[in-house]
Amino acid sequence: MTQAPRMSSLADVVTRQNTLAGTTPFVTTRNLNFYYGDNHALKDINLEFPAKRVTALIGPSGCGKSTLLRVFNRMYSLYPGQRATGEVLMDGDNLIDPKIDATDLRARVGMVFQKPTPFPMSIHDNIAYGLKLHLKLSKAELEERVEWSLRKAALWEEAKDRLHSSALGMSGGQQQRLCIARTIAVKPEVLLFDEPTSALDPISTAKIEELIAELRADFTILIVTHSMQQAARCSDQTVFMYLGNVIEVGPTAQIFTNPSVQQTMEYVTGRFG
Amino acid sequence: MASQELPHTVTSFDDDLHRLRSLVVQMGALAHAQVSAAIEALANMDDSAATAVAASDALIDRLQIEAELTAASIFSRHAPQASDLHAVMAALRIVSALERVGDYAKNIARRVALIVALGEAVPPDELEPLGEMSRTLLRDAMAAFLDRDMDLAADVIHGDEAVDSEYYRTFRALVRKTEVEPEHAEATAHLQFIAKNFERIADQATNISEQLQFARSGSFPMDRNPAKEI
Amino acid sequence: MTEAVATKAILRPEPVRAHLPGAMLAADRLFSRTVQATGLLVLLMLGAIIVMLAIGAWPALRAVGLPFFWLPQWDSVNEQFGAGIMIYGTLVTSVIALLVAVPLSIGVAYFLTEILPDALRKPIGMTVQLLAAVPSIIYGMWGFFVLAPWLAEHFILDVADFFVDVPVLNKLFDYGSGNSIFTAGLVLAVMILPLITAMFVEILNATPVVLKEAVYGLGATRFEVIRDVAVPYGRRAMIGAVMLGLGRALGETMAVTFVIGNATRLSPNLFAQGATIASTIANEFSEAEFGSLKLSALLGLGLTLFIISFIVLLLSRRFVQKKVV
Repeated sequence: MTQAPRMSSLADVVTRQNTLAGTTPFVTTRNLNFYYGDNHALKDINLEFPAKRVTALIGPSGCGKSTLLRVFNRMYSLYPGQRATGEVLMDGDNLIDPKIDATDLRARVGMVFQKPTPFPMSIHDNIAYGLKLHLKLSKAELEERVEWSLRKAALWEEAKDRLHSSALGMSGGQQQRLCIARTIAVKPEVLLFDEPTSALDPISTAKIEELIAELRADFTILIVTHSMQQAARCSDQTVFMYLGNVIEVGPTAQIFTNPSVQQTMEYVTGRFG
Repeated sequence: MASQELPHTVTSFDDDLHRLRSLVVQMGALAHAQVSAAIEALANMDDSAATAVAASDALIDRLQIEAELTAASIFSRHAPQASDLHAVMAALRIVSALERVGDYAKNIARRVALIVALGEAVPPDELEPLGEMSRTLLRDAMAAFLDRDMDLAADVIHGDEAVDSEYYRTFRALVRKTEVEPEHAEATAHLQFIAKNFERIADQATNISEQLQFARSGSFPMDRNPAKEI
Repeated sequence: MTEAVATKAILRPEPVRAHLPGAMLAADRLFSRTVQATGLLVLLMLGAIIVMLAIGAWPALRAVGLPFFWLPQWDSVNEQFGAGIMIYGTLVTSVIALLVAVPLSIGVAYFLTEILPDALRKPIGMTVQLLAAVPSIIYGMWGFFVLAPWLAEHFILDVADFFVDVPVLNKLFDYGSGNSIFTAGLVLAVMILPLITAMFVEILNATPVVLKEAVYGLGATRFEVIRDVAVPYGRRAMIGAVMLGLGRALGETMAVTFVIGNATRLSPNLFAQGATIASTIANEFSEAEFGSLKLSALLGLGLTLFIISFIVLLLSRRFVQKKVV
């Protein structure tokens, strides 16, 4: 406990490859509160999400991580009785301000869900769907964008010879990558992943984690995950939540080797609950 | 080891950690016993006791292997994080240090046998304080580990200085002895090696306490291996 | 090690069946036999109805031959019978009913599921279902006392005037009476609307939430979600619902009988009086003497309706078949 002043910790070593150094916050929440009817589900959330980095949200069931994730694309507006107060700032805009059109917002903030949801159309049309909703592209531009999306999602090689066959014929891992391709096709700025691999086998999971690492270069990513290993592997910043509060936030290496808060330590070492 | 009060939700994790811990404690007890036996053999110039020490070293080695396999299994099965991770890493290094202590004790015993074989009557009293200090430091390091006593660990680390001073004093005394009694040069040379081994045992004891600190805090002091003058 | 043995025991427990008391096994057998018998009974009843119709219709069929099923004649005096007029009436009224009811149902279903604020959904939904519970004879009376006279006064004349010079259409929309095929079609439409709407609402609501959220997540509007996800996803079920409505319309008796009038010949005019199979049977059954050719012809009409329903069922199953992609 009595240490010499100049310390070197495991976290420092890893942070020397510091992936959060020199980043600016791209999305910031200020006094964000969320209610399901009378249930106060998110309490005064103040967080910064660095640009072109991956932030993981972890915590036990019911802590509010999925709720928080779904604020960023205003998914809650589909359901009466759910509301958010406070500010979610991106590029100077408050995303939860009703003056900002939800459909426009969702072109800038894309979401990938836990269960792969390919539309009952061909692979090509799946990706074209989102594009047609928002953009006016010539046929050539459309094809180019479809290919770009599939390449970015590491699906091009597997899909290029069957672009017009039904998406429902693909395996679960492929379908999820298709959903990712579909979401990035419109080139959003932020990607939200809600437990993207919990329905997939280990190999598909690994492929998608690799994909997320590559997507970092172009998108700001938020990922909710139940797997701490996944959070530790994939993210640059980790937020630990409990019962609607942020307990601790910090560089991932630090959260998993030397967290500051006792509760975080207990959760991360498997002593929670 | 892991100094958190709450148990893990998965009890097999706690069971495995306890097993590792008990292996370390066992090894520590054995190593201490070996050092004590070596000191006895030295004091009595007893070469049969020396042989016994050499033979018992195999047990320490076996325990080390078991401890390392246990640690590997913990890494792969439970993917320990944070404090658990530090604790298992520390255990591995402590086990390694204890194995070396066992080796040093064995070396001391071998040297004793060699001296006895020479047939020369060379009183080993010069080494008695050094031997006792080293053994005490080892005992305290293991006690600190057993009781998770951080203050005792800090004392061990500080105590290494005194051992070093005693070693230099012993070294110079033995050198003077060689000058005065050149006919016993070979035996005195063995005594020098024995002294060095005692000093190294003390070093390992310090290592053990440092690892205990790492297990608790996850940090190392920056200047942990200051260059020592010979 | 005893651990291994204990684990094995947990993984392969003793089979429980062997210890069931004999009484339970016997009860199980009795249950399955009873269920089998009931299933058989239903099939037998169906067979019995078909046989009864066939036997009863045989004299009329023998008298006219196969043309019975399309000849547009119905002369009680000369005993010249044919199902043509009634088949025409049945089909046309049903088609009119579908053409009017289905688009309205989609609209109302969309309104109920997406536009209506949550608080109003239950009461208005229940009102729609209440409409479905209204007895058909009430609809018939409403059609006769309210709709038909109104159409006669304010609608038929104007429409016929409008099309008087238009080829083809002036044959369809010619001068006629309040009690007509058209009126009957409208009444049927109002009758099957609540049925189809209620089913559409359920189908739209049955779209998996994840799928809807995925489309919303891409930035689609409510309408786009309905059009591109809910309807395609529920398309098969919706066709099934329409077929159910059609089935109801084909066999509807009391609502139609009041307002369709009495047709003796086939006419392309929608505003002319007509006859459906059900209305004819209802109107003339009491007059037909036992053993007469007329009774036989009426039974033949029943058999015809049976066959039509069966064909519709087959067609609907083909529509609802999974498309192999």
